[in-house]
Parts: sequence; structure tokens; C-alpha cells
Amino acid sequence: MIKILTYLTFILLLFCTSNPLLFAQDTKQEVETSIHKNDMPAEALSILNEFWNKEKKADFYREFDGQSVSYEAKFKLNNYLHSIEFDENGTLLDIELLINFDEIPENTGKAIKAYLNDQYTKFRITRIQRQYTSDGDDLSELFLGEEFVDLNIRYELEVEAQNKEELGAFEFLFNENGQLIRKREIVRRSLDNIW
Amino acid sequence: MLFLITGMLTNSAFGQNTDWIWRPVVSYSWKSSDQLSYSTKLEMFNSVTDFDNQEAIQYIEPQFSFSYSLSPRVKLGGGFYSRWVDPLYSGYAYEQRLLQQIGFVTYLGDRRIAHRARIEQRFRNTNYLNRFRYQLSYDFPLQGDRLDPGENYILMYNDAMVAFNKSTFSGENRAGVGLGWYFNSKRKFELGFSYRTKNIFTDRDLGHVLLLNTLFYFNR
Repeated sequence: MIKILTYLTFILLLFCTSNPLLFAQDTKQEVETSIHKNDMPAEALSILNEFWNKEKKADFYREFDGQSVSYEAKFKLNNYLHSIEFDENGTLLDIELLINFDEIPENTGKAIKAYLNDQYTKFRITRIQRQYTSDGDDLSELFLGEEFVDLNIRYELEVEAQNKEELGAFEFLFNENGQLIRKREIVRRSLDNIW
Repeated sequence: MLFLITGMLTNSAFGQNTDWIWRPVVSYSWKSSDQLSYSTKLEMFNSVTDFDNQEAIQYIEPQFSFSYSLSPRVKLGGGFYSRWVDPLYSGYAYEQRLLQQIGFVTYLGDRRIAHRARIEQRFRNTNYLNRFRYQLSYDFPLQGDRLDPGENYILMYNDAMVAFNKSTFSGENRAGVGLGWYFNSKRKFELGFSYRTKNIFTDRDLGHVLLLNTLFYFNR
């Protein structure tokens, strides 16, 4: 028994002394950490104050992708879950709203469905976000002023899909016309502990 | 689930029919494609009350299983387990086990619920036994919406089963909770407690087993 105990203790120590960020860089996984509001950049908090008249419940996150840090605030406004991303200095990067598929313009939706039908034998859309970005203009001002024609609109979809070569969950970014801009595989946490 | 386990512990933990077990498991998994994955495990059952004598190790069990993903949410699989019972005794016994299973995932919002139905054929040196099992499990990250490297997660599960052959029929329930350390996509560790109720649907007294689980997971 002593030998077994020694062996297991060794394995435990090996686990505990690992630096998770080193492995995060190897696998290029993003690390999202829940933070307190006060840990957000001051500039980001100043922009966020434009979104509500009085204090609102929100969740705040710090994200590290192995190379750069960004900050995110998530809150519900006008019945939509908003996700607002800032860079390390608090500069607003994008605004995302969680929507349903039928809220995508008809022609854009058709183009997206056509792409997915063409690429996969089976697919299921699990999450859709409408993403707003700006080319230099004040994104928050244009967004809150509902001047959407002056903003870049994209659609970020999480899709479970399969064909002969691929099977898994993927993130697709489409432009306003339903043309694919980017595709990434989503690494879901393993089921090996419950299988 | 927590209430269930707490209640069971209160009622049975100090009863005469209670075994205390430390169950260490080491697991290594790998994929050969998006569809096909494999897993090997080494599992032990160590009696805590008999830790200083020949009954310390109740069994050692190497396990091999594979799974084929039918879709991102459904997979089929099978496996072979070989149990070495009472290895510290001179008259030890063996059990060889075949299993077939289907697993699928459902979502409640962003929350993942995993289901597993399993059929087992257990070939012992004393008898043969069939077993049907159904496991429901739920795990969620403690920090943020998703589980990132360096974070912890909570796992809860319940595994209900019936075992039978020509002459016997019995039921068993296994409920457990665990705290996981997700170091990265290649390594994680779980520490947990589980509670097993045995001899359900029989004339015998209920048997109770309390387990401390320490599980190490390696992925290629």
C-alpha cells in the first residue's frame, strides 16, 4: 500500500505544480476569468455608463488568449443579452447581442443556411449573436443612437455540425450579406469523466 | 442530489453495513479522428477500515473502452474491463466484463446534462451476471460561463442499475459529487465523494458503501 500511496502522491504533486497558463498557450485556448467591476479599465467603465441611466447588474470578465488581454461586460438590456468587449486600455472593440435566427435579415439568413447546407450533412445552430463594430467612428454613440447603417454588422453563430470529414462544434462569423469571414472549431470540455 | 447524499450519509454512514472505500483512478484517453476515441483506466478499490491488512485492496481493475460519435451530441461505445479481486489473498478471483453503451448530451440553456445507458455482461469465476445501468450527470464551471484552463468545476451524478441472472435480481444506486481541477485540455483531477446503496429489490439488508474518489485524467 505504501508504494501505491507514494505513486499517487507523486502524480498529485505533478498535477498541482503545473502552470495552467503555459498549457493555455500551447493549446491556444482562451482563458476567461470572472472579475470585479473595479478591475475593469476605467475607460471601459466610463463607456459602459452610457448604456444605462442607473447602476445595472452586469458580469465582468478578463480574457487572455495567450497573447493579448481583453475585457468583457455582459448584461441584459431591452430584453437582449449584451456582450461588450474592450481591449486592455478600455477601448471599445465590439458590441454583441444574443438573438434568434429569425431576427437575421431574410436574405442574410438564407445565405447562411445555404452555406451550412452546402458544407454539412447535418447541423444545428445553438447560439447566434449580432455583432456591431465601427471603422473609427464612436461605436457606442452610433449604437445607442441606433445609427446602425453606419456600423459594420456581422453574425456570429455557434453550430454543431458534421460531414464526412468533420464532426464537432464550430464558430462561424458571417458578414451582413451572409458571406463567411471566419470559422473556428470550439473546444468543448471533454466528457471522459462522465462517459 | 446533495440533499440525497447528505440524507443517505446521515442515515447510513455509521451503520453496520457500511464500507468505507478509497477509490483512486488514473485515466488516459486519446482520439484517432473526430468520431473515434479511446480510453484506458486503472481503478482500485481500497478498504479504508482494513488499510493495514490483506483486505486493504478489494480489487484492481484495468479498463479499456472506445466510443464512436454519431453526432456532436450522441456517441456509441463499448469496452472490456478485467477485475482482479482480493489480489493480496492467495485465493484471489477474477471477473471479465464486456459492456456496450450509448451516451448523449442535452442542454438546459447553456447547462450540459449528460446521459449514459449501459449494458454489461460480467463473467466471474463463480457466476455470470447481466447489468443494466443509466447514469445522469451534470457538471458546471465555478468561474464564468465556460470552463477554462486553471479553473474548477463541480460534478454531480446518479447512476442507477439492476443486475440479474437466472437465479438473482438486485438493484443498486450510486450518487456522487466531485470538485474538479481543469488544468488544461490534457490534464484534470477530480476529488469527490460517492454513496452506493446495494441489495435493492432483495430480501437482504441494504448495503452501503461510502467512497472517496481521486481521479486523474490525462488526454493526448
